[in-house]
Amino acid sequence: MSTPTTCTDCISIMNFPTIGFGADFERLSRFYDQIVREVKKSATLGRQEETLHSLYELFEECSDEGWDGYNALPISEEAYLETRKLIQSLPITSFIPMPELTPEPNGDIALEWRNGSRNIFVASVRGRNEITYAGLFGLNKTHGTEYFNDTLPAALLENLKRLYL
Amino acid sequence: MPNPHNGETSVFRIAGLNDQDVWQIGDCEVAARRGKPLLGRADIRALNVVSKDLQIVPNEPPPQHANIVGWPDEKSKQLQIAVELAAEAQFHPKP
Repeated sequence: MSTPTTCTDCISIMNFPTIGFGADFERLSRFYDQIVREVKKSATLGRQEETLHSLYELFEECSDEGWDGYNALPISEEAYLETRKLIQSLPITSFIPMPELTPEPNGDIALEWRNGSRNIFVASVRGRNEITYAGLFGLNKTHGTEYFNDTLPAALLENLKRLYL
Repeated sequence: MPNPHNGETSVFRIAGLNDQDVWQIGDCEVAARRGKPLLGRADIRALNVVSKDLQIVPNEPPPQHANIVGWPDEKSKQLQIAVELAAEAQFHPKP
């Protein structure tokens, strides 16, 4: 006997699983992309498209060494693609806004959420399946590193909820 | 965040300078080097930096230039300090 259970890892519909092969998988993947494109036209998800566009512009501007006028390392394509995947894995909900994006001098891309002067959460992406994060919640602090592949790490989601709920 | 080559963060000391002089530094030493207009600046007290176990070391030229040094090696700890400094900084948009 079996019973349905919720997938605690499946918090985003924006990333189609990459495990699969064959013509049926390809067709399903294309159909899925079409559905997601329609869903993204909503007000909430339209902001995601804006953020992804800003990410691309940031990558274009900071992909050469010395982009800061000194000797900053370039943003790699891996960092860009991983940040894109991270943004697409964010939950589809109105209570977590899209982040502000900032290039870092070491070539990472920082995603910042802020809800007041002492409520800040930042996630930094390098393109090596690893997200470094830090948060300030009033007098409380947190920092760490999480593995990232296709789904948003639970630690990041919990910190975003902590920031906004 | 620290520069990946030397572990330092470039800053300018503005104590005793008027607003016009401060913006002049930004225009000459930051905006001109990036080839982009200055949108604003973040001011932070030296005390806030030192309280994070960092040091401020004068490094001229250019005038008023200094480096914040002493960042921890671990990236997440660097990020934590950066977040705290950001919370304590005062942002001023370019007039």
